[in-house]
Amino acid sequence: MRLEILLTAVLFFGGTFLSGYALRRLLKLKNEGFLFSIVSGTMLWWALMELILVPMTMMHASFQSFVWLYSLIVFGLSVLGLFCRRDILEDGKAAVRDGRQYLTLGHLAALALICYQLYFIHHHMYLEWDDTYYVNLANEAVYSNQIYWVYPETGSFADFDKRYVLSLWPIFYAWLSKLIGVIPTVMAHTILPWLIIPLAYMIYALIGKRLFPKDSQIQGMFLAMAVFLHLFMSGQHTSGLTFLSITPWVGKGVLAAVLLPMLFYMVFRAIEKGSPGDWILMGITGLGGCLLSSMGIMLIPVFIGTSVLLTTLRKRRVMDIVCGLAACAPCLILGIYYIYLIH
Amino acid sequence: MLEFFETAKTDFLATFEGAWIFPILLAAIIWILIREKDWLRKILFGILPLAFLFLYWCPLSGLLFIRLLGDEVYWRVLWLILLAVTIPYAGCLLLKSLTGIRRQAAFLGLLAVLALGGKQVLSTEWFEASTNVYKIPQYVVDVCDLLPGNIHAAMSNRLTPYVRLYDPTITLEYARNALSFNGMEEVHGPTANLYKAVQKDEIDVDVAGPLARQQGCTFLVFSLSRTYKGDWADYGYREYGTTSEFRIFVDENYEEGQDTRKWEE
Repeated sequence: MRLEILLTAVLFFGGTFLSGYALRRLLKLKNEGFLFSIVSGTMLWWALMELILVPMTMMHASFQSFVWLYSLIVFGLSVLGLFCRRDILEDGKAAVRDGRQYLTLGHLAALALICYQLYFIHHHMYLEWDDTYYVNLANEAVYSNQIYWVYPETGSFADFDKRYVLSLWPIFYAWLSKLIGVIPTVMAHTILPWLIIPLAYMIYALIGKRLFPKDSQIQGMFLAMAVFLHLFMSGQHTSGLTFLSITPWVGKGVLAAVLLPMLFYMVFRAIEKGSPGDWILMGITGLGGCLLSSMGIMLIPVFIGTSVLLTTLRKRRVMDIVCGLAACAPCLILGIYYIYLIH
Repeated sequence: MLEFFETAKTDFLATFEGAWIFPILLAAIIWILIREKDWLRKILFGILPLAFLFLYWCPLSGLLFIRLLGDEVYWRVLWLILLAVTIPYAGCLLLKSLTGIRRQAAFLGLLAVLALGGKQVLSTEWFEASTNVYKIPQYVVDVCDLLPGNIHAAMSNRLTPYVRLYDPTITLEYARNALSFNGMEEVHGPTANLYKAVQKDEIDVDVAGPLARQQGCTFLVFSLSRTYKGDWADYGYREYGTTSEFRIFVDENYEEGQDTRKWEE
């Protein structure tokens, strides 16, 4: 299993890293570092998947055709990333130059806690009843070659449940399963935590870096406290942070633990800097969030809308509201469609 | 309106009970509002969480959320409050004013406060040691290892949530969706009646047998603790095997390698 975990991590982090550079070049977001490339590449992957998957599901396309199309796009993006060698080299040089300053108490504490979390989760299991629906949705995609037209709990053919048709996150790890050659259950329960948990903390590391650009010691402490809060929460499954430990493969968990912090980071960046690239990346993040959970379709516009409205009251820059609205547009369109579907 | 407040209160308590995280959050927000000089940060780290708390408790927005999301998952609105951003930021505002060993000591002190104020998530209360790479109960793996693939089966409620996680080629006569029949005195249709019949400690084979056959269940898997009134052989089933917790019956007409899945291509 170690080999499968390693292969998936190389595929995921390597691919998102390169795709992130391609996207950054397009959005003119330079000198942001490796972590930023990985998280922005991830958001791009998820957003593109949402764009492709929804129409393909509606058109009864086979899972195999989705795998081909999506893999081709992801491969293309990664190849484009290879053309950004100069940007990668610049970030690499900066990483080597500044690397030592990240050897702080906070960073080491955070790293130790993350390793403990991964070790614990790898050797334990949390039995989630909803897996009988969501993980089996991925299993069905791989085994029956149908996207969502089989009732996952029993295996019978069925009309799709309209509540979830816009947010088919399990197809993402079904895709990874197909590429790596393991059953989606193993991908979800055993491999995915090795991707999602580091990804979540990368976002907190970026937030810390943004907040305290000149004090790496405080950055480390910020990250360590963020990790600590995920390990010592109120102990209820209803709290968003807990999902990262108990069910990091569930879409709504990824929404709470990865997407919403990423959205916060993007809002902070966009309002502080006001660069078009940041607003576009926020829109991409929002669209990626729609893939994770239908809850995302509702919560993302509320999050962006409230943040932008509050800051605009003080800043009085109407353009922020326009950009915020534009960033929410994918969610709003899907939200209207969702309401149309379920009513 | 009262119903809304009841839902909001229940969900709020369910999210924060058993820990001091919410008081810590409030203290963090107050600290940010006092100490932060940058207006943007003050808004995003201090006022924004308060705005989301207001949206959560305000009946107008709350009822709208409930209408859109459903009242069973209203607690998810609380996810908008990013605890792992606000609380660490407040902590860092404090740490920023210190240097050297005092900063390190204060940092460890803050971690201790979070550990004492929270409840350990990675504990055996929720987790159990995994015995297989699928991370499903071992008794499910034991049953599935005995069963052939591509079959249609009716199984114990302890197995139905997990069986298809191990072998998706097995189709089930009923799954979690059948739990809704539990509260019903009278049910309609063969699937529901079969489900009800096999829930009894002593299964009436004269009721369950014909229904299982009618529904094309090639395999039946029940807990070893179940007793039977009647003989499965009368309805064409024979014992196929047992695990430490379950007994498996098979349709006598089943041939090894046969595809008996239902509703699948």
